[in-house]
Amino acid sequence: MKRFISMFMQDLILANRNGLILVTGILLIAMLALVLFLPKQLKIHNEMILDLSQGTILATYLNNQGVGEDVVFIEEQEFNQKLEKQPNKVGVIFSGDLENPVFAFLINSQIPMENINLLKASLDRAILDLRGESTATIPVRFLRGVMQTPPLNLKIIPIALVFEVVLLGFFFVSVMMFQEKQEATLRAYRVTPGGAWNYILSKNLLFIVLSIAYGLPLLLVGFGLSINYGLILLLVVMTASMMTLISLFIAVFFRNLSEWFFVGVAVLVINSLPSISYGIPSFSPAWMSWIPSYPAVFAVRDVLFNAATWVDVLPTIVLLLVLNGIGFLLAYLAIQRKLLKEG
Amino acid sequence: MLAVKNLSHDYEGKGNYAVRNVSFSIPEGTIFGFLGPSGAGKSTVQNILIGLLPLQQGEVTYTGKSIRDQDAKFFNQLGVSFEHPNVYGRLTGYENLKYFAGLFDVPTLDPLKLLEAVNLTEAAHRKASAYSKGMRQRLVFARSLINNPKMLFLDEPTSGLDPNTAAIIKEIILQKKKDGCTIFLTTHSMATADDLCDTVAFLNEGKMVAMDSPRNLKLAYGERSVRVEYGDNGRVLEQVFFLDKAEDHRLFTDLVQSQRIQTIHTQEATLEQIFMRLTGRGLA
Repeated sequence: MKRFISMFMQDLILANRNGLILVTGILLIAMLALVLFLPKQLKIHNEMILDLSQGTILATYLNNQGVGEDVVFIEEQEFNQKLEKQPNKVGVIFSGDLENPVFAFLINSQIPMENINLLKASLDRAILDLRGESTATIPVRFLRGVMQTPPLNLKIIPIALVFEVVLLGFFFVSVMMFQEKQEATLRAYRVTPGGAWNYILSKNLLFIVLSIAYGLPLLLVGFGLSINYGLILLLVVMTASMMTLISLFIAVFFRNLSEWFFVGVAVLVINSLPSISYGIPSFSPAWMSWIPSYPAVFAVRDVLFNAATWVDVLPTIVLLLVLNGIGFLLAYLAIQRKLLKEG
Repeated sequence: MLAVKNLSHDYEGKGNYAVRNVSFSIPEGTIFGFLGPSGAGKSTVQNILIGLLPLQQGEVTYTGKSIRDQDAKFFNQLGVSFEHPNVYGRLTGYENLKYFAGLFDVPTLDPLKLLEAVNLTEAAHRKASAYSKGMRQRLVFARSLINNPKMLFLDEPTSGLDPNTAAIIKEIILQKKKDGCTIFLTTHSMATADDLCDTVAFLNEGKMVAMDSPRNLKLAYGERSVRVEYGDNGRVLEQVFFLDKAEDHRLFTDLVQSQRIQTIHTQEATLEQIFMRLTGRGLA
């Protein structure tokens, strides 16, 4: 234990003097600022509608549906002025009445016809509603339980927990090993009773501690005490640990950062791909789910926003445990048989 | 005691041996000097002895136990000072020693006292990256002593040091010997080997060519010679005469009788001269 503590303290000092703790702190402050100051919802409308009908029935209807006054107009002059300033928007002028509705579209830039047609369909639906001829509600079946749309400012937290701090850990653990290779301090380490086991665990613990130090303030500011911290931190720790072990394994086979760069960045990019699926859930090709960070980010999301329990995320925990085991074995073999023999 | 018997090592496994049939033993509490030019195989032998290279052929035993059977605790008894000063540049001298002290299972020495012993007290809390090469060399030397080892491997411990500091390091080495530490010293410096070693071994092209105490080697392989300065038409000339050679003996006798001699010194052969005589090459 004395040996492990000595190694951990040394790694902690080196991480500090390499700027890792500073960078993590800056990143944390930036993320906290986003959580605190980003709006909970961001509504972006690509259309502006002018209602010239008698009694402005469409404008009233849309306002009642929650559409803002920056989208719906009843004054033609104001509408024209605003549209002129925002040429990328689609202008829609409604005239006539409910029986004979007339829509005119004003398009200044290239807008896909698909978008125009979807807008037309929405307007037709509004007219049918106003006539009282609305069709039956389209049935919706939720495959993973009904989940409320997360507030925008909190939606970024799973990304920060699963991808950002892991990215830092993955990068910096390699940097630390390359420094040791360059300084040949590994030769000195090799003629001590230190061994591969302590070497791996010390660096792994360092990045686990950093991931908690980064994640915990974010969670506290974003969610207070309303979430299952044990479960969420377990997921974060296992994800950080897995990536540190993979990073240690890969770095053994390279002499310096320049040689490592392309392979390291490729691994990081692949690991980050599931963030696309997180942002656009309908984009989830089968191969994407094979990337370990995919189940991790969705498990974190489910715990944070869907009150998922231990049982719900157990498959992900088991998967991460297995991947940590494989990662440790690979890192141990590479360090014991290669790094500490040639170091 | 460290015993090495018929040690051979072939890096590529193609019959090109870096060292071949090297045998020696180092009694406890003595200093063994390993001398040879670059590429002679000194580092290969040392790396096998400290476990950085696997033992392929031959046998290495520490107090009767084969190096093959040693576990991680074996390193508790070992101190290694590398030729290239490999320290953590971002840690201070004190932190470097404190870190390594924490890796051993045996009682360790006080890092500050060790730094004081090698004249690094003032630089103890400066980052090692700001040290000169000589300072880093001293730090590496101090690190090799941190676990109070029973077996010390020193690779060029006085390289790049000024004479005063080199004298301090030599004094510490001799003190460790008095304390019972067994020391394996690799060096190019014949003066260092002469000053410190009980036994020296010459290694050339992977093979041992001679091994004995420096005095015995000088007696066995050295030539009696005198260096003479004499006047010649207002100039001062210098010449070395090997007295065992008849021609040199006659010229020297003539010079003595001419009464032109200004200074005269007897000379013994240096270890380097002996190495050159044995191998036909220098140590550099």
